[in-house]
Amino acid sequence: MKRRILIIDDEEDIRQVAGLSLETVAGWEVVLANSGLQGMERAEKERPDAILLDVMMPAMDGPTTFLHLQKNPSTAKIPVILLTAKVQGSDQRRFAELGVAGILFKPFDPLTLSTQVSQTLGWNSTH
Amino acid sequence: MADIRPPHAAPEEVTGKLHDLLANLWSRSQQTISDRLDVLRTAHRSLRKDPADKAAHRAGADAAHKLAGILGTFGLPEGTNLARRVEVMMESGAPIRPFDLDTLQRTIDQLQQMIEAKSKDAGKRRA
Repeated sequence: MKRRILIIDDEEDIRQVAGLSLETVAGWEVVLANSGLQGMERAEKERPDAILLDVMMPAMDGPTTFLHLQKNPSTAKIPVILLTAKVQGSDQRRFAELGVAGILFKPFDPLTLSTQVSQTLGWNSTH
Repeated sequence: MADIRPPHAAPEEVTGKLHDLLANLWSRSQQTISDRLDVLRTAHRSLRKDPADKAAHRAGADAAHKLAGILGTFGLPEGTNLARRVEVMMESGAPIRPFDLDTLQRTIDQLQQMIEAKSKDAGKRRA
């Protein structure tokens, strides 16, 4: 069955590049959300196999969105990968302590993003 | 999209298709990228007047962070490095010294030149 990924990012260009990358290279189905709130709604409705979640977003940031997703029984088990341009070790440790499935860094390589996601989640194949 | 690393998994036709889609997306992202450069220039001008201007620090760091996240993804890793330098200078919120303001201006200029060069190159490829 085709994998479905939800990308939550307030930046349109990042959403578009990541979406194109996962659809074109891996053939996954992609669902987009432009805020933490919209992401929570889409996660509940679409039940994706995984979520790529931006860290720095206005109104509700990635870590807060993650905690809300965890509190909702219908989205709590969806693995979440944080997407961040923060490269400092202290930020990375703080994110890891939240209990996310993994952290990927911006800028990412569009050709290998799906491989990175698969490796992070322990998926055997990108398809 | 000459700077994208060769794929280790994606077949050639997928790579070519992704390059075309990304080139198209780069053209469509020009306005957003240009707006972010404008924010950097405005923040820099404000900091010349008041090196401790908190709003200028915040706006500049935010725009630089977003540029750092996207430029490498579009095949400009050096653009990401330059944007990160700007972000680091602005995010501390500490008053910026005159010497550092000169460095900041040069870095923003370099960033702009790099983006314009890529856009010209992309235009030639389309022609």
